[in-house]
Amino acid sequence: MVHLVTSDNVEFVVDKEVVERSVLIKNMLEDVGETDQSIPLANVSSAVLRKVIEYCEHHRGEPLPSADADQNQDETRKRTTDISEWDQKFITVDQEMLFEIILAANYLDIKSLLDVGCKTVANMIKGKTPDEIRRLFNIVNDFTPEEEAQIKKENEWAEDR
Amino acid sequence: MTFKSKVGFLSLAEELHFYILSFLPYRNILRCTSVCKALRQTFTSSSELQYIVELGGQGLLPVLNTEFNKHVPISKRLQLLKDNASAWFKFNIRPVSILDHPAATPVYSPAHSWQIKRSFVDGHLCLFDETEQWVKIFPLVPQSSPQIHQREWSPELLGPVPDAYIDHVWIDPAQNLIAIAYHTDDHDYLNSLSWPDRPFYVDLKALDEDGVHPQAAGQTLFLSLSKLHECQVSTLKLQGHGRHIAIQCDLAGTWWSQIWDWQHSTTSNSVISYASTSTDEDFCFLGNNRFLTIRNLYLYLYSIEDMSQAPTFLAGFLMPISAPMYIWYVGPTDDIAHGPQPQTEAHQILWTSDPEHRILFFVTDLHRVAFAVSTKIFFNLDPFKETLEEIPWEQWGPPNTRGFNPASSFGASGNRVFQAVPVLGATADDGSAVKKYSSHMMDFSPLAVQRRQGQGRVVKEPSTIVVENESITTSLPYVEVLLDGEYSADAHNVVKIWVDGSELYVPRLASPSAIN
Repeated sequence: MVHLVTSDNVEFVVDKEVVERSVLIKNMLEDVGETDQSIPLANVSSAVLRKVIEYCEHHRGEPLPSADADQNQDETRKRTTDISEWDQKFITVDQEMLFEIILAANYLDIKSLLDVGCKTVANMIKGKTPDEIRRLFNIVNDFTPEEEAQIKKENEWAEDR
Repeated sequence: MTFKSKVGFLSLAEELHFYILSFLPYRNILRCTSVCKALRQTFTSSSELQYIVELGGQGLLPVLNTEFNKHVPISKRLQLLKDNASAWFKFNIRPVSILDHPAATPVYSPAHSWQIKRSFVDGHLCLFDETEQWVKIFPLVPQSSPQIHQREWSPELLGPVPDAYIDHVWIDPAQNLIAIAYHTDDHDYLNSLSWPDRPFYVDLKALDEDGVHPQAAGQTLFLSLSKLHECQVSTLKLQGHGRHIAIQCDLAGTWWSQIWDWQHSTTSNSVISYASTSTDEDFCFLGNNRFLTIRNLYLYLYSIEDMSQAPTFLAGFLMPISAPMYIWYVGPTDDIAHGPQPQTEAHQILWTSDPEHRILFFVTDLHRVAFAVSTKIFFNLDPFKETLEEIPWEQWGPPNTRGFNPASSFGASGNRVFQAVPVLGATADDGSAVKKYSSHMMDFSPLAVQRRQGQGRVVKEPSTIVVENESITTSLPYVEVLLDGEYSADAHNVVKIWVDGSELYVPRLASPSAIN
């Protein structure tokens, strides 16, 4: 069992097999060997870690993506909506939690979870106009009208069909 | 007292923005660049996102990373792609004289040299002399990769059949494949055969070495027609695309085609057969799952997704004229980019054309008319639901095609059509009239039409051609570029064009008289 301590000081005790989906923790454990010392995760809150562990529990035993997984990147790219049913349900959370999960997955180095999160955001963006995207993520338009007109002109070719 | 700020989209690091955007189709990526400065920065600092956008805009598909191309950095691929798109505008014509090639010389000596069938694929010229029964292959483009060295084939090299007679050949240097259709008329040999042995064969060989192609399901493909030798086979064509290869022949009034998945099986049930009195019909593949036959200049579309059965008829597209004879047909040919490092291996393709964004280009001698057809109509049949059997020309044709009254020769490659137009009244130094040509280039790619700024002329207005007193108006947009300068040649010998980086290759075969 592995002891993890979150940023808000909550301790989680998790199966080694489950927590090793995180390449970061896997490498840590390899470095320090068997230990009862808890691992501090200063960047992850308990609410987020609970979700991350739920994900890792569900995918327990599945093979980890190999180092040459990049080879199939182009293939996966073509199917952005391709998220398994369980993962889709799992990632149906509010925006803040979604971004927190992405940040945690990135920090803990859990590629499959990072993909689920990023694909979900990509699917939210898909088909939307710049204005709709701004509203979606509460982004302030920081272009001057001139800059905006210039960009619009540059991108015109892709819209006008 | 500190408040933890809420995590939002913009609080993600740039690398995460990049990663999210990389899952999007190219149009959506572009839209993101006008959301805010941070996302614009993500785009401008990522050659990978720019590569995705450029690929999508040019109607090209990325090719899965392979052993050989994964070390080609994205920035280099992006550069290749941009060079490819602008090659049209800074090309220079470099005549590739195959006369310089000692082995090519015999091509011009026999009187029947005009009968030699020529095909130009991936920077290689394939010559097939049906009378003298040989096949020769020359690399034409110096740095083209994959580069196959010059090879020769004769019936004797084919193997097990006595009196083999070569009917047709097809080469695919990107896959290192040569397919040879041949038969035998040796009656003693034929009588010794029992079904399912057949007197007609298609052999699959490696281009760069002797023997069966390493990925082929077997050396010989079997035709599902048992009595081919009793029929009069007058026209035969062999052509492939990716894992498919098809043969089409005229069996005295019945046109018959068979398609194989050549890496998977040497037999197939994928057969199309229909009665027709025309003497020249054609076919082509549209990507991996569509097959198009051209009958009397009408286009019949099939699905070949299930190779265990006959192709499924999807739709018939009627042309405004019926031209039963002499279709000289081009395309759709592939835009394939190879890695910058010349390698002997044949698999380092970086991108390939999207079958939905090609043009089909064909010329018929009978009415002196040529058509460019956008292939996107073959992939969305919804608008024609009511009339799929025979879609009238008016319903699909005018906005998706462009007709030409050719007074000249055409060549096509990818989305581009090359036209050699004779210059009237040109004279040589000694005052005698010579054949001179100016060159027009037409680029039908959506990117060229939409994005070209100041280069070439965008032709969007409809144009009208007249065939047998009938007017046909078409309006598929394209970019037209006129080449500076003229060149003299027999325009009928413009074989094909080949775009390689910033170079445009126009192989012209000099006629026999030009040598003397």
